[in-house]
Amino acid sequence: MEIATLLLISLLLMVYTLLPVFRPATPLVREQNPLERWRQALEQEKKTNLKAIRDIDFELATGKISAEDHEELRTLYSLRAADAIAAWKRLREDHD
Amino acid sequence: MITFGILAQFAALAFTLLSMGLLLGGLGRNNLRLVQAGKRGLLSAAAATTLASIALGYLFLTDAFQVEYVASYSDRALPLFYKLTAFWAGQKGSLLFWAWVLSLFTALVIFNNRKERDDRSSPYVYLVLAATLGFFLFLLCVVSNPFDTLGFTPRDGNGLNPMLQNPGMVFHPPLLFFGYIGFTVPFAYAIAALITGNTDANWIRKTRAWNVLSWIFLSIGIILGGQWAYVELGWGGYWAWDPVENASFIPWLVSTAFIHTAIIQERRGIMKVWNMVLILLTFALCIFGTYLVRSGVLQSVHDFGATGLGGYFLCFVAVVLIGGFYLLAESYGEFKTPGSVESYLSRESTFLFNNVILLALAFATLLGTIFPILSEAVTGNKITVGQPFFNQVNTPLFLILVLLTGICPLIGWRKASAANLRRNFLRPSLTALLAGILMGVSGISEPYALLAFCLAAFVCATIIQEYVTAIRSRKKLTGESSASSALKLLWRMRRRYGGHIVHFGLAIMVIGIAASSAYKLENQGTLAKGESLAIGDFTLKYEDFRIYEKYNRTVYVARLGVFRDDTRIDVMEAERRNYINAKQPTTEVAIRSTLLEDLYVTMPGIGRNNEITLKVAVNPLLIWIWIGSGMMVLGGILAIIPSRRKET
Repeated sequence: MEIATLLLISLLLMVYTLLPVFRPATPLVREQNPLERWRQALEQEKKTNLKAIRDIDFELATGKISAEDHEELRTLYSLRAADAIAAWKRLREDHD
Repeated sequence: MITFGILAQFAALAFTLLSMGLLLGGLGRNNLRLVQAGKRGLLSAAAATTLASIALGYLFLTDAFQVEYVASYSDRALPLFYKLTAFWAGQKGSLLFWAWVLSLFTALVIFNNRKERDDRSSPYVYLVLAATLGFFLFLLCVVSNPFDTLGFTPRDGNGLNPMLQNPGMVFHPPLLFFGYIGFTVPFAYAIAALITGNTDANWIRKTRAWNVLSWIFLSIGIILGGQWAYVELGWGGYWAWDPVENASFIPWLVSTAFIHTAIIQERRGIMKVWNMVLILLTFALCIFGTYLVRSGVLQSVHDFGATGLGGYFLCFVAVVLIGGFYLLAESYGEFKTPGSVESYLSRESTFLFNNVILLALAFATLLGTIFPILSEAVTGNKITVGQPFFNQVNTPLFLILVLLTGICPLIGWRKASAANLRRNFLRPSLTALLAGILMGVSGISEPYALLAFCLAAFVCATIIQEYVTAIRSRKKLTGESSASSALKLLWRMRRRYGGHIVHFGLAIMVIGIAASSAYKLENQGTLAKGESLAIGDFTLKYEDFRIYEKYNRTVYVARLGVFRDDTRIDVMEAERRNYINAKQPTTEVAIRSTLLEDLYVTMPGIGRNNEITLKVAVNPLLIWIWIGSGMMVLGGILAIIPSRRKET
């Protein structure tokens, strides 16, 4: 009885497991074009720098960095974020 | 039910292997359907492992003593609660528990990702999880089967070790296992990132909750282990640098380092290789810890004896390390980042120092733990290094770590100027100094204890200062009340303040550890009824003795009146217990715990005419260890509550 119960459960689990195999095949990986890869990399660069700006704003508010250092770093990260946005625009224009 | 359990284990292994085949096929043939089937295979393996676990639980509940594992860890008189928890009292059941929890965690990962379309990396995540699950199921099916039978049915079982019949020991092992097993998930994501060359911090973001949650489980497991040692073993302490304690402490240290540097990768996009190294080491150390406990290579108060499993675990650790570091070496160029820490006066650099200290602690503890194995390999003799080695090496390192915990919140990300440092350090340093002077005046002269109190005061002051400054800034910006600003900051920036609560808890723990280690008082004596024993401000008077039967034991109780300045302030009852099937009686500690000190009493002997031998200790501020560790856990939980808003 125990063996029969377990065999039945195993059979049901096997059917559940293999069911997708009998559906029409679908490709796993959609080839990512180089433009999309660039977009993602530049988006990440932009996000990292915007996050850095938020960090140093909070550090300034809580007195952990001086106003001069804050100004210098804010300019640096703003420029980096702007560069990333500009690079993406240029790439898209070139592609179009 | 025995056959059912065995077959369920084999079915789980078969589904796991099938799943691996389907996932590999899906990757090879670029077929989503095969990957979906592979995931379903893992869900089926989880179902089969659950059935095997239910079968073992049922065998315990029905006193099926023909099963060798049940006969070894249970008996008829064992209370129902302990019958269930005897599941993981031994090595074979623990392995099934590992496999069961891992299969459920894997199912949870699949469930969490149900809305995401499988990309190139997710099949590798499931493959790593399946391979780990397959390893444990293989051990269960081939090497260490909890359903093995004796060939006869004994009238009763051997019973559960009396020391394990304690609520702390019920939750301690499963929580440690949750911690160990939880780290399989970030490890699987890390390996997938290495194989597919996804160099961004996506794997860290996806697994942050798993990392912190596993760390919380590991922390609670370690704390409960310490509490169990304190209330059950009767030697008056909570940590003995026992190999099994160290086995969980070493991955805790490395995972703590990883949690810190993962923040840097998320925020700055640097330290990608280092984070890979740390998660590989954390997972390998979790498996290695299981090996240390299960192989019987080391003497410990709670090892499982020589089991023949050691070789398998060592091979698995070798595969993890060699395979992981090979993949890392292969993709080193992609993961190496051009960015760097911009200034030595930055939070990033304090995180780096903290990493160095945590890894030094982990290395020293590992070296001390495996020294008997190394010495036996070289000299033929097992040489054990004791508590003095660990205390001498690790205490200064811990104090540096506490100092860094205080320094870290004072320094901003990226760059801090000397003027800001001077301003931010002033109050916490003065607080530490003041604490030192007060302690010195009140007679505390033990150098390490004095230093520990000062550093703990420094950490608490930095965190309070940081919080108060942030509240003021928010008030200025929003015009809210102080209370509203305080609560909103705590909730909206819970990741940051959760971390601060963890550090605050650590400082509180340090106070408890330092006071109870440096200023412990001990006394012992043999008393006849009516006689007294003094310790510190307390006097214990032996008032009464009684014997009674309960469940599976005979209990001998000595009632002690507690006096302070000739006033009777309390009553304590120290016990000795004789368990059915136990070869030796055990002691049950009596503890009178207050915020100032623990009065700790054990009764190691009962003589003629009910004379009792008492061992008494006063452990100052010990309760703060448990309070501090509770705060650490709460802080960790606060830090992982998901947020819809972007935190600053």
